[in-house]
Amino acid sequence: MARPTESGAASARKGRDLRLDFFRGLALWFIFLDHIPANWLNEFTIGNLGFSDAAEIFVFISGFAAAAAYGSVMQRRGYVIAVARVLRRVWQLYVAQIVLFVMATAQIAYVAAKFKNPMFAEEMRIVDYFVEPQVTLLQALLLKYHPAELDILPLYIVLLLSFPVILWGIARRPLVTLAVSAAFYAAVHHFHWNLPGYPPDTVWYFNPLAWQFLFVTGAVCGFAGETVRKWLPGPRIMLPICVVYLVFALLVVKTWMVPQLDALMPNWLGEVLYPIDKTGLDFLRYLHFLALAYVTVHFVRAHTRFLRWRIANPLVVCGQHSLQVFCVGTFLSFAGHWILVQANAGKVMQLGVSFAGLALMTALAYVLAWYKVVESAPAAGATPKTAPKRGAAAE
Amino acid sequence: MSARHLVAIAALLHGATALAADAPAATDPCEIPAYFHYLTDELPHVRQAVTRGETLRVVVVGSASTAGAGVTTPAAAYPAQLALDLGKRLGSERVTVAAKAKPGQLAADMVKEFKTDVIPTKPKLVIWQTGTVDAIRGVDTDAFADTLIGGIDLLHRAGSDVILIDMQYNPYSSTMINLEAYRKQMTWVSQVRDVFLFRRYEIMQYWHDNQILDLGATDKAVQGRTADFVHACIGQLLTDAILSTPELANGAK
Repeated sequence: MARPTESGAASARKGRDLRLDFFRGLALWFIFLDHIPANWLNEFTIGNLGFSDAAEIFVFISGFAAAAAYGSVMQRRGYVIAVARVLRRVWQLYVAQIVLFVMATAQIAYVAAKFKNPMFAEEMRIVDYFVEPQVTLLQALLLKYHPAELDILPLYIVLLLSFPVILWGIARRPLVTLAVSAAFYAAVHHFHWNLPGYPPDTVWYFNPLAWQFLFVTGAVCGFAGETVRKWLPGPRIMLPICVVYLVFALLVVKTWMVPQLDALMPNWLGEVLYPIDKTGLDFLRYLHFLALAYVTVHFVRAHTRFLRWRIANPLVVCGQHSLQVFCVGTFLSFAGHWILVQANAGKVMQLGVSFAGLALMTALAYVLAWYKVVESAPAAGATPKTAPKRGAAAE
Repeated sequence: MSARHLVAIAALLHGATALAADAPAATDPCEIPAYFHYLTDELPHVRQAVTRGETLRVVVVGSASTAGAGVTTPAAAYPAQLALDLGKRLGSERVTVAAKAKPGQLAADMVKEFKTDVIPTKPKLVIWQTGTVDAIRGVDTDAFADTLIGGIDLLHRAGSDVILIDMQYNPYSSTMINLEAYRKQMTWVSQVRDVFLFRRYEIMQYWHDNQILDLGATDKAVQGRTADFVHACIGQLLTDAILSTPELANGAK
């Protein structure tokens, strides 16, 4: 049914690109650290180096990986089977979101009962949303209500739900699909479209209608990377542009953190740049991520030895089980934060809790990898490294 | 201007050391690292009033914390403490501080009050505490920034200087409320409009992290003492910021 493009077929033949797993694992680690607010280690995560943060890495790589995985299923077994697989994944994500919602609710309820400080009565009004559980639970099940830090899976769910359409497009005309996505992104910004949230009159913090642009960009790169590469100017032009932009972004971000640097930021430039909206995936954030990705991909080649070193392996394995690791990471960040707050802990303990959390996430990933090996053992001992069989795709 | 840039470049070069050398002097319990004190705007209307010996009229607009949530007596709330400290420095007859605080107010609600209750009193300085309620209610972050800019422009046109105050810190709310996005908007607005942002969130977090106080305490007596301490220090730090330019230091004598 679908005619694979040259490059789509070529990328499938090469087998799994470990860079995807490695950087997705890194994004998961950053998201875990960022979700423990009382932690000095999160000063070293990617969000402090420029406009974009771990969310962009996660969304782009999700698009890239979805295109590579479901694109290959489509080539081997047809569009319908690929769509069925996508929908199964969407259901898994939905269940994961509801589990995390229950955990977050338990935490909020516990804090509200224990921490009755009149000084923060206004902040604790957040608990009022649970005065009417029948409303809030329904809104959560409808994915309209997202407690703080639980807003990225709903985004991913909507993006993946739209993936059958995206896949249909990129399998035929990848660059046209990208152009349609960009036009839609522009329209979303022009008309201020977003999905409705809860409480009433609010919108989604991660606007899927805007973030689809990065997801589709990832998918196009994942399915037709060679086409994109041919279309771009060479590294002699691209690399300096990217580096200059990254340095510029770094300097701007530093003026937010160190008030003395404020004078370096002329008002007119602020007027041009701000607000650098995360909700609508501001174009500056989009460009910043692409610049970062370009420079990274330029220096970290697909078969770089480093990715096969033992030291890189924990990140690679985490990246290969991203959904489960993400969910457990979210739970562990709640738990880790709770421990740090109870102990009013210093930097050493913050370090200890962070490493313990990362170690548990990694341990889970290794257990899951082991399960996969065990379960597929009767079927000719296939391991995740095995390249997909490509017989049917030639039809 | 160029001197300001030199200072900024020096700060950039020494950025890391400035951030690392944040141990407080033992003398003043309110002491915070120097980089929190940095005032981008010279508060021209305040300076004019002080140097000419006119009455310095200050209005503080805000929500629950400005109303003194958690302090043991109303006089301990930071607007009252600010009046006390400014009075000590300038003479109490030369200062008036009026607090217009309503718990649960959005930034947009407060802008409406600017027109009816604040601007008619012709303040030289408006201190605007906001952000918490907007974050809880999930107001669109761009709309929040537009509201701030609209409010600041309104006050500037009416001849008032403006200081923004961001949210309170406590170790629990940051996992329950997405304050980060709103704090960023406040930083950007303060940059674009050259308004001093009093970084209350980071200052309180600094006190908490350095165990100067415990903002996670569950004991009632400790909670009350902590709130009084925080409000007294905010009053003092705001006074220092308002009277920080050299002309004012002389004018205040």
